[in-house]
Amino acid sequence: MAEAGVKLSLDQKIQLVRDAFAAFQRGDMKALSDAWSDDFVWHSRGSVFGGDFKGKDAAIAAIARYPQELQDIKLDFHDILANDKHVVALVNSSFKRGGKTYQDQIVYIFHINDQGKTTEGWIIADTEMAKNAIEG
Amino acid sequence: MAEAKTTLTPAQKVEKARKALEDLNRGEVNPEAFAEDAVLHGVLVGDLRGRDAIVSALEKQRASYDEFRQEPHAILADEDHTVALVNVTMRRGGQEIKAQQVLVVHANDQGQIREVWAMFDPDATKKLAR
Repeated sequence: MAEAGVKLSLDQKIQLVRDAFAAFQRGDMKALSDAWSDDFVWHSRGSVFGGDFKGKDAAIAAIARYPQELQDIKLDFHDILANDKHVVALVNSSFKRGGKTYQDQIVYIFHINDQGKTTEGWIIADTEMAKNAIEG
Repeated sequence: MAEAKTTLTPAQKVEKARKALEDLNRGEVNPEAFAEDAVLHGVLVGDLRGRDAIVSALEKQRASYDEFRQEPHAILADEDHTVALVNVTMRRGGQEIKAQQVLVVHANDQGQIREVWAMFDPDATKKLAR
Protein backbone atom coordinates (compact mmCIF):
# COMPACT_ATOMS: atom_id res chain seq x y z
CA MET A 1 0.00 0.00 0.00
CA ALA A 2 1.59 3.27 -1.13
CA GLU A 3 1.80 6.34 1.08
CA ALA A 4 -0.82 9.06 0.64
CA GLY A 5 -0.94 11.83 3.28
CA VAL A 6 -4.01 14.09 3.36
CA LYS A 7 -5.19 17.31 5.03
CA LEU A 8 -8.90 16.66 5.43
CA SER A 9 -10.29 16.09 8.89
CA LEU A 10 -10.92 12.50 9.85
CA ASP A 11 -14.65 13.15 9.98
CA GLN A 12 -14.56 14.63 6.47
CA LYS A 13 -12.77 11.59 5.12
CA ILE A 14 -15.20 9.24 6.81
CA GLN A 15 -18.12 11.16 5.34
CA LEU A 16 -16.61 10.92 1.85
CA VAL A 17 -16.51 7.15 2.22
CA ARG A 18 -20.07 7.03 3.53
CA ASP A 19 -21.22 9.15 0.57
CA ALA A 20 -19.43 6.87 -1.92
CA PHE A 21 -21.06 3.77 -0.46
CA ALA A 22 -24.44 5.47 -0.59
CA ALA A 23 -23.85 6.26 -4.27
CA PHE A 24 -23.00 2.62 -4.98
CA GLN A 25 -26.03 1.36 -3.12
CA ARG A 26 -28.41 3.57 -5.10
CA GLY A 27 -26.67 2.55 -8.33
CA ASP A 28 -25.27 6.02 -9.02
CA MET A 29 -21.98 5.05 -10.61
CA LYS A 30 -21.33 8.63 -11.78
CA ALA A 31 -21.46 9.94 -8.22
CA LEU A 32 -19.25 7.06 -7.15
CA SER A 33 -16.60 7.77 -9.78
CA ASP A 34 -16.83 11.53 -9.13
CA ALA A 35 -15.50 10.73 -5.65
CA TRP A 36 -12.33 9.31 -7.20
CA SER A 37 -9.20 10.90 -8.61
CA ASP A 38 -8.58 10.38 -12.34
CA ASP A 39 -5.82 7.90 -11.55
CA PHE A 40 -7.89 5.93 -9.03
CA VAL A 41 -6.88 2.29 -8.60
CA TRP A 42 -9.20 -0.42 -7.31
CA HIS A 43 -7.56 -3.53 -5.87
CA SER A 44 -9.85 -6.51 -5.60
CA ARG A 45 -8.12 -9.81 -4.89
CA GLY A 46 -9.62 -13.21 -5.46
CA SER A 47 -11.16 -15.45 -7.99
CA VAL A 48 -14.22 -13.76 -9.45
CA PHE A 49 -13.87 -10.01 -9.06
CA GLY A 50 -10.10 -9.96 -8.66
CA GLY A 51 -7.57 -7.65 -10.25
CA ASP A 52 -5.92 -4.25 -10.07
CA PHE A 53 -8.09 -1.84 -12.02
CA LYS A 54 -6.35 1.41 -12.94
CA GLY A 55 -8.30 4.50 -13.91
CA LYS A 56 -11.93 5.43 -13.39
CA ASP A 57 -13.28 3.53 -16.38
CA ALA A 58 -11.61 0.27 -15.47
CA ALA A 59 -12.58 0.61 -11.81
CA ILE A 60 -16.21 1.40 -12.56
CA ALA A 61 -16.42 -1.52 -14.97
CA ALA A 62 -15.04 -3.82 -12.27
CA ILE A 63 -17.31 -2.53 -9.54
CA ALA A 64 -20.37 -2.55 -11.79
CA ARG A 65 -19.98 -6.32 -12.06
CA TYR A 66 -21.08 -6.77 -8.44
CA PRO A 67 -24.72 -5.72 -8.99
CA GLN A 68 -24.68 -7.47 -12.37
CA GLU A 69 -23.70 -10.79 -10.82
CA LEU A 70 -25.25 -10.53 -7.36
CA GLN A 71 -28.70 -9.44 -6.26
CA ASP A 72 -29.94 -7.37 -3.34
CA ILE A 73 -26.50 -6.34 -2.18
CA LYS A 74 -26.57 -4.83 1.30
CA LEU A 75 -23.55 -3.10 2.79
CA ASP A 76 -24.02 -2.07 6.42
CA PHE A 77 -21.27 -0.19 8.17
CA HIS A 78 -20.15 -1.88 11.35
CA ASP A 79 -17.52 0.81 11.93
CA ILE A 80 -15.38 3.29 9.99
CA LEU A 81 -11.96 4.30 11.24
CA ALA A 82 -9.60 6.92 9.85
CA ASN A 83 -6.14 8.27 10.40
CA ASP A 84 -4.01 10.72 8.41
CA LYS A 85 -3.43 8.26 5.56
CA HIS A 86 -6.22 5.72 5.57
CA VAL A 87 -9.92 5.19 5.94
CA VAL A 88 -10.94 1.66 6.89
CA ALA A 89 -14.56 0.55 6.68
CA LEU A 90 -15.71 -2.62 8.44
CA VAL A 91 -18.82 -3.73 6.61
CA ASN A 92 -21.35 -6.47 7.19
CA SER A 93 -22.54 -7.45 3.75
CA SER A 94 -25.18 -9.71 2.31
CA PHE A 95 -26.28 -10.55 -1.19
CA LYS A 96 -28.58 -12.97 -2.95
CA ARG A 97 -27.82 -15.28 -5.79
CA GLY A 98 -29.96 -18.11 -7.09
CA GLY A 99 -32.49 -17.73 -4.30
CA LYS A 100 -29.87 -18.08 -1.57
CA THR A 101 -28.66 -15.35 0.75
CA TYR A 102 -24.96 -15.04 1.52
CA GLN A 103 -23.38 -13.03 4.32
CA ASP A 104 -19.82 -11.83 4.69
CA GLN A 105 -17.65 -9.47 6.69
CA ILE A 106 -15.69 -7.15 4.43
CA VAL A 107 -12.87 -4.70 5.06
CA TYR A 108 -12.46 -1.76 2.68
CA ILE A 109 -9.33 0.38 2.79
CA PHE A 110 -9.05 3.76 1.07
CA HIS A 111 -6.48 6.47 0.45
CA ILE A 112 -7.93 9.98 0.03
CA ASN A 113 -5.90 12.90 -1.37
CA ASP A 114 -5.75 16.58 -0.40
CA GLN A 115 -8.55 17.40 -2.83
CA GLY A 116 -10.90 14.98 -1.10
CA LYS A 117 -10.69 12.45 -3.92
CA THR A 118 -10.19 8.78 -3.26
CA THR A 119 -7.01 7.65 -5.02
CA GLU A 120 -6.88 3.97 -4.17
CA GLY A 121 -9.14 1.34 -2.67
CA TRP A 122 -8.76 -2.25 -1.51
CA ILE A 123 -11.40 -4.80 -0.65
CA ILE A 124 -10.66 -7.79 1.60
CA ALA A 125 -13.55 -10.24 1.41
CA ASP A 126 -14.42 -13.91 1.21
CA THR A 127 -14.20 -14.10 -2.55
CA GLU A 128 -14.46 -17.89 -2.56
CA MET A 129 -17.96 -17.54 -1.18
CA ALA A 130 -18.85 -15.15 -4.00
CA LYS A 131 -17.29 -17.54 -6.49
CA ASN A 132 -19.32 -20.44 -5.14
CA ALA A 133 -22.48 -18.35 -5.26
CA ILE A 134 -21.91 -17.45 -8.90
CA GLU A 135 -20.60 -20.76 -10.16
CA GLY A 136 -22.97 -22.86 -8.05
CA MET B 1 -18.50 -8.35 14.64
CA ALA B 2 -19.97 -7.66 18.08
CA GLU B 3 -19.73 -4.31 19.82
CA ALA B 4 -16.75 -3.84 22.11
CA LYS B 5 -16.19 -0.46 23.71
CA THR B 6 -13.25 -0.17 26.11
CA THR B 7 -11.84 2.44 28.46
CA LEU B 8 -8.50 2.54 26.64
CA THR B 9 -7.78 5.51 24.43
CA PRO B 10 -7.31 4.86 20.72
CA ALA B 11 -3.65 5.84 21.05
CA GLN B 12 -3.18 3.26 23.82
CA LYS B 13 -4.81 0.61 21.66
CA VAL B 14 -2.55 1.46 18.74
CA GLU B 15 0.51 1.20 20.96
CA LYS B 16 -0.58 -2.17 22.37
CA ALA B 17 -1.14 -3.53 18.88
CA ARG B 18 2.25 -2.30 17.74
CA LYS B 19 3.91 -3.91 20.76
CA ALA B 20 2.10 -7.22 20.18
CA LEU B 21 3.33 -7.32 16.57
CA GLU B 22 6.87 -6.47 17.68
CA ASP B 23 6.74 -9.35 20.17
CA LEU B 24 5.48 -11.71 17.48
CA ASN B 25 8.27 -10.68 15.14
CA ARG B 26 10.77 -11.57 17.85
CA GLY B 27 9.16 -14.99 18.02
CA GLU B 28 7.43 -14.25 21.31
CA VAL B 29 3.73 -14.99 21.62
CA ASN B 30 2.75 -13.13 24.77
CA PRO B 31 -0.16 -14.98 26.41
CA GLU B 32 -1.07 -11.87 28.39
CA ALA B 33 -1.92 -10.10 25.15
CA PHE B 34 -5.07 -12.25 25.03
CA ALA B 35 -8.02 -12.46 27.39
CA GLU B 36 -8.59 -15.93 28.79
CA ASP B 37 -11.77 -16.29 26.74
CA ALA B 38 -10.32 -14.70 23.60
CA VAL B 39 -11.53 -15.82 20.19
CA LEU B 40 -9.47 -15.73 17.00
CA HIS B 41 -11.19 -15.96 13.63
CA GLY B 42 -8.59 -16.82 11.02
CA VAL B 43 -8.97 -17.79 7.40
CA LEU B 44 -6.22 -20.36 7.76
CA VAL B 45 -6.91 -21.71 11.25
CA GLY B 46 -10.66 -21.32 11.55
CA ASP B 47 -12.14 -20.21 14.87
CA LEU B 48 -9.90 -20.70 17.89
CA ARG B 49 -11.41 -20.22 21.33
CA GLY B 50 -9.46 -19.54 24.49
CA ARG B 51 -6.05 -18.06 25.20
CA ASP B 52 -4.25 -21.41 25.34
CA ALA B 53 -5.59 -22.57 21.99
CA ILE B 54 -4.69 -19.28 20.32
CA VAL B 55 -1.19 -19.08 21.76
CA SER B 56 -0.51 -22.70 20.84
CA ALA B 57 -1.73 -22.18 17.27
CA LEU B 58 0.31 -19.01 16.81
CA GLU B 59 3.44 -20.71 18.12
CA LYS B 60 2.92 -23.69 15.81
CA GLN B 61 2.24 -21.41 12.86
CA ARG B 62 5.44 -19.48 13.41
CA ALA B 63 7.47 -22.63 13.99
CA SER B 64 6.33 -24.00 10.64
CA TYR B 65 7.98 -21.15 8.72
CA ASP B 66 11.62 -20.21 8.36
CA GLU B 67 10.46 -16.61 8.59
CA PHE B 68 7.09 -15.13 9.47
CA ARG B 69 7.18 -11.35 9.77
CA GLN B 70 4.23 -9.00 10.25
CA GLU B 71 5.19 -5.39 9.57
CA PRO B 72 2.44 -2.90 10.40
CA HIS B 73 1.69 -0.57 7.48
CA ALA B 74 -0.82 1.35 9.59
CA ILE B 75 -2.70 0.84 12.83
CA LEU B 76 -5.99 2.64 13.41
CA ALA B 77 -8.20 2.60 16.48
CA ASP B 78 -11.42 4.09 17.75
CA GLU B 79 -13.51 3.33 20.81
CA ASP B 80 -14.72 0.02 19.39
CA HIS B 81 -11.93 -1.44 17.28
CA THR B 82 -8.26 -1.60 16.54
CA VAL B 83 -7.41 -2.33 12.91
CA ALA B 84 -3.90 -3.19 11.79
CA LEU B 85 -2.98 -3.16 8.11
CA VAL B 86 -0.05 -5.52 7.96
CA ASN B 87 2.45 -6.52 5.30
CA VAL B 88 3.33 -10.15 5.94
CA THR B 89 6.39 -12.00 4.70
CA MET B 90 6.42 -15.79 5.03
CA ARG B 91 9.35 -17.93 3.95
CA ARG B 92 9.50 -21.70 3.97
CA GLY B 93 11.50 -24.19 1.96
CA GLY B 94 12.94 -21.55 -0.32
CA GLN B 95 9.50 -20.16 -1.14
CA GLU B 96 8.60 -16.63 -0.10
CA ILE B 97 5.07 -15.32 0.05
CA LYS B 98 4.25 -11.67 0.62
CA ALA B 99 0.70 -10.84 1.57
CA GLN B 100 -1.45 -8.06 2.91
CA GLN B 101 -3.25 -8.89 6.13
CA VAL B 102 -5.91 -7.03 8.06
CA LEU B 103 -6.30 -7.64 11.78
CA VAL B 104 -9.52 -6.40 13.37
CA VAL B 105 -9.40 -6.46 17.16
CA HIS B 106 -11.86 -6.04 19.99
CA ALA B 107 -10.02 -5.39 23.26
CA ASN B 108 -11.20 -5.56 26.84
CA ASP B 109 -10.71 -2.84 29.45
CA GLN B 110 -7.27 -4.22 30.27
CA GLY B 111 -6.24 -3.86 26.65
CA GLN B 112 -6.18 -7.61 26.10
CA ILE B 113 -7.45 -9.02 22.83
CA ARG B 114 -10.96 -10.34 23.36
CA GLU B 115 -11.71 -11.14 19.74
CA VAL B 116 -9.62 -10.84 16.61
CA TRP B 117 -10.32 -11.41 12.94
CA ALA B 118 -7.22 -12.19 10.86
CA MET B 119 -8.00 -11.61 7.20
CA PHE B 120 -5.60 -12.21 4.33
CA ASP B 121 -6.05 -11.18 0.77
CA PRO B 122 -7.63 -14.24 -0.88
CA ASP B 123 -4.83 -14.86 -3.35
CA ALA B 124 -2.31 -15.17 -0.54
CA THR B 125 -4.66 -17.43 1.37
CA LYS B 126 -4.74 -19.83 -1.55
CA LYS B 127 -0.95 -19.93 -1.72
CA LEU B 128 -0.69 -20.49 2.02
CA ALA B 129 -3.25 -23.26 2.02
CA ARG B 130 -1.27 -25.31 -0.51
